[in-house]
Amino acid sequence: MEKNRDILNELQNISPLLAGMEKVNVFTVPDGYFDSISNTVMLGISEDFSIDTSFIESQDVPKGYFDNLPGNILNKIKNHVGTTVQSNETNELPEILSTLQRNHPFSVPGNYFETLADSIMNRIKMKGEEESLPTVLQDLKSIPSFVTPAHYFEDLPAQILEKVKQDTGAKVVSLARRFPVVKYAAAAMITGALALGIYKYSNKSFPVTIDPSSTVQLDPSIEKGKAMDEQKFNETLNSLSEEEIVNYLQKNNSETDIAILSSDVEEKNLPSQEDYLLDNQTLDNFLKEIDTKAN
Amino acid sequence: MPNQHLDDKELLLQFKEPALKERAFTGIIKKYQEKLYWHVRRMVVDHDDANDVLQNMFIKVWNGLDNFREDSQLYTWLYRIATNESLTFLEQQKKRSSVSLSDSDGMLANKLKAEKDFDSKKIEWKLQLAMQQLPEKQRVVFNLRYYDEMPYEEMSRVLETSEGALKASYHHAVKKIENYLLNS
Repeated sequence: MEKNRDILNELQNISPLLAGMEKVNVFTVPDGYFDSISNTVMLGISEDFSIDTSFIESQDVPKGYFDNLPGNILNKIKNHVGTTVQSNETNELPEILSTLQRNHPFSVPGNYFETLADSIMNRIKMKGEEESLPTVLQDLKSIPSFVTPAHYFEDLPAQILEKVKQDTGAKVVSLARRFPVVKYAAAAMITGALALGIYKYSNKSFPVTIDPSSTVQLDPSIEKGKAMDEQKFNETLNSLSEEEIVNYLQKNNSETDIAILSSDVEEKNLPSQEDYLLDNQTLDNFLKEIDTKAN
Repeated sequence: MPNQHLDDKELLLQFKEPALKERAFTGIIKKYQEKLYWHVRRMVVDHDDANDVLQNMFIKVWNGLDNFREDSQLYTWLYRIATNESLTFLEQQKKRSSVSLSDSDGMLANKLKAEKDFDSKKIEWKLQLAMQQLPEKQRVVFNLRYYDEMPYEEMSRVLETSEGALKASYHHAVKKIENYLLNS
């Protein structure tokens, strides 16, 4: 071969001694090593990657040989010793145990195993979604940003009911006109809440405490419902009609707010979306302007 | 039945077919196992070590074969992985060894001497001892050229080294071995 001759000539030029030596392989391998190495590698891969190895078995042994091997060995042992093995084992068991069927007494909820995989996958997905949040947002999730006065939700239905009974003829204010302001106000609130949350997150060493004197004093009617439990709250709230709730909210909204929302704030006076998106100050300036007018 | 007689292109095509993937891979192992085994064995000396390196190397090939770019030859790529795995194995073995650096250099020579048929009077065993005096990368070059008769062009792709540097490396390796044989 041309290639071999070139290499031999090269070696001859560098070292005639080496070129004249016979190439002898001094190493040996165990018998049958090269016959079995591919199977060994594939079995190793199959363990790591859960692949089908039936094709490997089919080369050297009948298909399914290894699957049936333990059972076959057991059968051979049993056949070999006749009934000795079985009788010895059963004789050693107390009579009551040897007569029992080997069924376990435990039960699982219906369809447990059919739905188990889905349940686990859902949990994994939920966990994955949580973990995909930035760390700062994950931590913020557990920090309560807002507090309510004690028993607020227990008392609220009673308070609403009382107000509703007192007045049923309030004027209707179109929510449509309020919407643009609500949209911007909501954005401002979210910005504020995020800023507050980040402030709290970055100042964890300062415990967040609420000064009781700084909380809003509730209407005396709220105090009446303090004994109401959650179930009662829900029942009462469910008994209210939508109209009753709307009437209540309209009556109890600040007149100033309504005036601002219904008259002073016209859509045409709102900052354009481009201004708002390009300049953070636009929204702040606009809200300050409303505040000034209100005062 | 895996067919190791298929050419590399066909084996790679079959590997991309889910139903034929394992069969094709077995074919690749069977086709190259001996060449690669001996390449690894000459580097690490001990059979069990060579067997470990070879199996790990093929598992890495399994993981990487989907991304193998067919603009290079399969066997060049396999040799590169086998060489890297052998050198990494030797490096790890040196780190694990608590013996001094000079003793660790003689680690492979000691393994040679522990081989079943070792005979220090026989020239073929002297050659093996002489090879252990070479720096590892020079030993790789010598092995690929002397035993595997690999053209420099292919060796250049395996070792990602210029042909000129490989020729020089081989020349130095041969001279060192000759010197050892003449003086031992």
